[in-house]
Amino acid sequence: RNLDETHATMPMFERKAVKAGLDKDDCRKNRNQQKVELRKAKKEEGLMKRRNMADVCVEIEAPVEVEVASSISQQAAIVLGFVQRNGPAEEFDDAFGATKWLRKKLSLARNPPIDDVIQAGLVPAFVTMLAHPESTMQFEAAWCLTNIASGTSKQCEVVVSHGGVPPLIGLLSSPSIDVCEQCVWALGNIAGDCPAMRDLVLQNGATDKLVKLIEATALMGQMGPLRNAVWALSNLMRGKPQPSAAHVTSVLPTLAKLLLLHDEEVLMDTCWALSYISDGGDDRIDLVVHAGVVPALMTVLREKAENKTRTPALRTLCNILTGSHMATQVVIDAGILEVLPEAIKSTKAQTRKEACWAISNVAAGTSDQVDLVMRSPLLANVVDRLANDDFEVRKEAAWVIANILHSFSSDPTNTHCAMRASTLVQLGAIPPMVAMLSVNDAAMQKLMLEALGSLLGAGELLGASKGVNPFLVPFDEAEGIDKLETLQEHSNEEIYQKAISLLEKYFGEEGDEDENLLPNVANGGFAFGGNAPAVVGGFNFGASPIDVM
Amino acid sequence: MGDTDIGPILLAAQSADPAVRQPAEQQLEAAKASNLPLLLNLLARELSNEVKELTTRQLAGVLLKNCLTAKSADLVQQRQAAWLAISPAERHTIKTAVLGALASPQQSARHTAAQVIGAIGVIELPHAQWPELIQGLADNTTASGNDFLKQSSLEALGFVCEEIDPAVLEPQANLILTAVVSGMRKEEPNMDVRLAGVRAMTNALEFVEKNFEVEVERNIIMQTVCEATQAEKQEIKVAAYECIVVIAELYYDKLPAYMPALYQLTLAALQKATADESEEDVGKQAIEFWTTICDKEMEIEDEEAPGPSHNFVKQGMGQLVGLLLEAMCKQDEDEDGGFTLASAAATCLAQIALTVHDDVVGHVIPFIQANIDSADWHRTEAATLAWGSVLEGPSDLALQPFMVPALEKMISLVGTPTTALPVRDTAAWTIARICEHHTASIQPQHWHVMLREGSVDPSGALIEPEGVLLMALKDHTRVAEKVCTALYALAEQVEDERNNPSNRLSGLFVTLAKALLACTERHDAGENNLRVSAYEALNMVITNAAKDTHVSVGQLLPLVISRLEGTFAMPIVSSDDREAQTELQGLLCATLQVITQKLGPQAAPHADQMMNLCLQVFASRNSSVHEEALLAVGSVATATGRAFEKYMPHFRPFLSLGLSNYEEFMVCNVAIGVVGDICRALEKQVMPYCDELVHLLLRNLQNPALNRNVKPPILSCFGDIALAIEGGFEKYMQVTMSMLVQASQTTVDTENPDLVEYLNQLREGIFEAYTGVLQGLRAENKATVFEPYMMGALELIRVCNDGVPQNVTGDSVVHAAVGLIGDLAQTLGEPFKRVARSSPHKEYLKALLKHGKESPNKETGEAAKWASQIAFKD
Repeated sequence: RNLDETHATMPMFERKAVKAGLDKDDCRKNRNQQKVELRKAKKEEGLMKRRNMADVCVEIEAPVEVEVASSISQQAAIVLGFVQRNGPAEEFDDAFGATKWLRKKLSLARNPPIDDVIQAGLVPAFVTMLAHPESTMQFEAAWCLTNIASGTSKQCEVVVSHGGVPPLIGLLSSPSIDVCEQCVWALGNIAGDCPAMRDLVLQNGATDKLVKLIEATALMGQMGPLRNAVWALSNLMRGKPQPSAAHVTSVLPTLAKLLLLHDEEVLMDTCWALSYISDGGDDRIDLVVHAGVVPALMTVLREKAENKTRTPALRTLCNILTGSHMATQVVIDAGILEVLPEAIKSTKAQTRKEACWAISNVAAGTSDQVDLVMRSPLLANVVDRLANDDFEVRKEAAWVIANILHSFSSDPTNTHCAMRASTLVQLGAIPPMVAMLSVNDAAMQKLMLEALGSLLGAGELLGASKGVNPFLVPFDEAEGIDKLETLQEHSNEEIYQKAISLLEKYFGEEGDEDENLLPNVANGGFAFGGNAPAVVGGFNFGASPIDVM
Repeated sequence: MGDTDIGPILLAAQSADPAVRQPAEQQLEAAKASNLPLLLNLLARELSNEVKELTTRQLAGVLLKNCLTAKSADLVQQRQAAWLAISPAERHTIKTAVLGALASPQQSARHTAAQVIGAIGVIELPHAQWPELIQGLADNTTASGNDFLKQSSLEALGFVCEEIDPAVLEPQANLILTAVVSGMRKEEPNMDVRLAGVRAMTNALEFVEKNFEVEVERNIIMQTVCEATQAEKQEIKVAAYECIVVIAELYYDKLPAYMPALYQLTLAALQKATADESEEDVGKQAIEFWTTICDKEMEIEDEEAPGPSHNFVKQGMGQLVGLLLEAMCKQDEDEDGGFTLASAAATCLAQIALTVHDDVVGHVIPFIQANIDSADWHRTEAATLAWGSVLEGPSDLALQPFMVPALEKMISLVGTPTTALPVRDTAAWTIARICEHHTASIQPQHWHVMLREGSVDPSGALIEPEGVLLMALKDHTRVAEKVCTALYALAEQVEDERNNPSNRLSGLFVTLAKALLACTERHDAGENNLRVSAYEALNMVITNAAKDTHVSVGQLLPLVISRLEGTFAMPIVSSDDREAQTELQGLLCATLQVITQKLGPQAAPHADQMMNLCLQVFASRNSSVHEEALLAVGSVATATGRAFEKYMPHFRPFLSLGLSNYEEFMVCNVAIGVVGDICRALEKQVMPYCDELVHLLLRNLQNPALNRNVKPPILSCFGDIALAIEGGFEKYMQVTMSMLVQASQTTVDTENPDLVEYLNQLREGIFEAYTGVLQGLRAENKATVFEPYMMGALELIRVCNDGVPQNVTGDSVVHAAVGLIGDLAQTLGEPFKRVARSSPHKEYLKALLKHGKESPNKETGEAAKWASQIAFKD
């Protein structure tokens, strides 16, 4: 027994013996610490899933390792053996670990080893593992396929040709939301590759399952999976030739509902989906109008400051404006003209261009619709854009002016229509119109020549009582006559013919036809007008390419 | 008991015969409980009574002191309070009696009295209750002519100084110093007085800081101490060098002026001790001085202590290392492990290597080269030890030229049976150090020589013997134990390749496992920690084994299970047998744990057997075995998942026992970790056990006696439970949420880095709890249940953000906090976002998220990105 409990003696300096070996307690502490770290990792992994941080995980993977390819063959052997032996339970962990390892490699931001994985023959194995009863395994396999499908068209094709699409679609109704989300991702990638792939996904019945998933996740507020599903749906609607009307019809009611959600990502992809659908013939536009989405799109345009959603919403509305007069009217009634003044002043050229395009479509409508444009303050903005903007925007503004003036040339005795020209002149349209004659774009030059012809014609009608065409002086002041004379030299026959006829008609000049019939070699080539683009039919044209953010 | 003669009771309480001892002990305990003043009074009278037996006087003194102080902080507080509760008059009586005993001619009586005075002084002085004590003791040493009184008064001063908060005595520092210096000066003729003076000085050094600042006073102190190193009496010299060691520790920055003298003194002492065995203790203290200087200069280099470094070691190393190497040749013939002059010198050399890095190499190489092949094993061993001692500190580049020949020499020393045992031992240890610090220098051919499997031809004739280390595992236990350390170090290096398909251990796994298992079975494995080392090395080999060894690891499992089974059949006749059994069970449980952890679900078929055995192990009373068994059960739970449910009814009592074991807090801590394992394994099926678990965890949180480091894991454990039972946690919401708020209000002294560290752990635990609860509720659409507690969570986030600029909030807390922001947004949706996006919340939330995004830790950055996305961008 130790008599003295507290040992109040001098402390000796005690140092650990120099050759001290392993200490049981230290080793145990070490083990304990390892256990704590393992637990932490496991916990963190669980949380990542619950937090839907899977997409974030991709980014935090380690940089590319050397010898990835040789390790791929090792891991592939594990996975392939597992699949060949019909998934024996005792091999599950190894196979799962190997699949996960492969998934991580495929998720590398730089040079993911997609071809190595394909060459190892893993694609059919991953497809088979989609049918594994364990949802974690389905998840990893789907993730691998997602990353392969996100590669080149050829790589994506491998997933499709090994029958990946039907099981991926089947898993859209999996009870595991992670699995659903991953399959959505994979299918979105496949559908986004090309219209042929898209149709394959559609033909396998993806829309119905996707729509169900969207409705369910929206109801539960599972925003991560929902966003992915909407993105995938938009890819299913994208590209030309467009998907069949039946597929479009089956998704429109869902898209209409999604427009009411307050989630920017969801709104953005919904609007894009609608813009793809509406980028077609009048029948498609009517389907969209009948789905009742116009007011909601207008709300998006009014309330959202972010271009992410405004751009596709505006695009869709503009697409609808190109439709029948009825469709155009629905958009006008919803108040498109009230939101455009802001768009036309946007700092983004793309948006200003779209705004002008929208107005040009109204200006191509019924007489009442043209008058709405004439009465709108927008008209001054359009003239301003025509004078001071990027070429692409000026072109669209020119179409507005041309369409307005076309209403007179198609009804050349209508004073009301002629008065529209007068309004344009008062707004200062002539100088920028003349300036457009100098652009290096034959179609635009022709359009402006026609428009100016209409304008001068309207001047004739309005000045008939006084005997003076009021627009000739401003036209001359804008150096229009000089410009027309220059155009007599133009290589494009139509252009110089038009220029000559205008000069002859309004300025009484005789053209020197013989001389001007000679081909113009000044530009260094013999061009008899063969390089002029085909005349654009009517006043509509297809959607121009847009930078998708 | 009033006039009882307490002597016989005290004697009886020391009896070896329980029949005599126990009634006496009970009587004393009863007296302590019923009338403490009376008991103390009796003891004091016994101690001071010169006619009593010396034994009983001493017993009385010790018992008296034990009533005033204790080892554990809790008991100290209790006993101090009990003393202060006694009336001043009664205390005065007791103190007077004990003071009287200070002058006793009986050495042990006055020594014990000095201890009691020290104990009382420590209690009363901070309460300003015995103001005359220090003056009185000082007067005794300077003004009295009684050497007994002088000596014991100095001792008492030393005891007070040793234990008390220095701030309390600072005002009286001059008084104490005068008394102490007068006692220890060379003119003091009584050597006992002088010794007591030197020892008191050592204890007083901490609160004479102001005097140490004054050059004249510092010179006096230094001179007196240095003179004491030259005293005749051995004990005084040892005490004086100890005093110098403390000076080096406390006043490193003041040393330059004294260093020439101290250098001379210590080196001379070392030289003398090397030549004269009777000077060993003095020599060891002289070495300790240099080891302490190394500590200080390393602290300064690592910026753990304020600089500048005076580089004493670098400057003094030339001669010092030479003397240390000679001292290292003075090994005890057959002893290993004791702190001898040789091992003190080796320790110092190792510290020098860590302090001066490359510079040490040139000073040891000539010695090694001159002595490694010496015919005298002492010199060979010293050369070997020297090489092993400098392996950590110098750069690879500086050591590289010598590494290969040195390793080959070590291998040959270990592998040659005629090498003296201490040399084989040290050479094996040196190989372990090479494995630990310079694995890259070990070439394939060395691996082959050390670890190849022996081979025989079909007739059984030996073609090639097995590797040197494998053979050495069968050598003397001292050598085998070092080899285990080497294998442990080797396996430890592979940690980062643990989850690879294959790694450097793969080809060796079977060989090593076989050799280590055989080693654990040696009849003499109980000696020199061999069995423990072999099992620990095996555990490390398994822990870091790659995937391609899983089949072999799996084959170990039945073997380890049967070994554990076998321990219950061990014949137990003595407490030593019991101890051996317990130790073995702990080791085998640890092996089961690492195997199960490695194999995961593949271990599941053995779960029944393992659980059965672990439950039997819980019958043992040894806490470290409980830790091991609990950890093993946790691994089984992880491996079996939901199937673990069937073991719960049987395991539950032991889990509760572990959770209730607040005294052995490590057991409690491990049990809490296992609760987490079980929650993750059983998920919803853990529900029936939750009432009890939550109750025990809450009780632990409320228990002030439980080590505080266990509390953060408890908080985080609530998160584990909530994640497992999801909506089922609703019933615990009120009680747990208010506890989290309480815990959130903890504040600490932010100047103390230990406390800041703790605060961070605590907050991380709280955040983990919130996260678990939120994610659990979200899974069952019960988010609204959390709404009333949202502001509490936000408040802690705010506080943590406030702690960012002062560096109080660590990265792991930021990680947990931004994660929680995301969880709040994801789970509560609009109600949270509305609040989060309005002042004053948006300011601190955004600030913390921004800080998180800039974290050097990727996970924190990603969590912050995710959280800002979900909380502010939707």
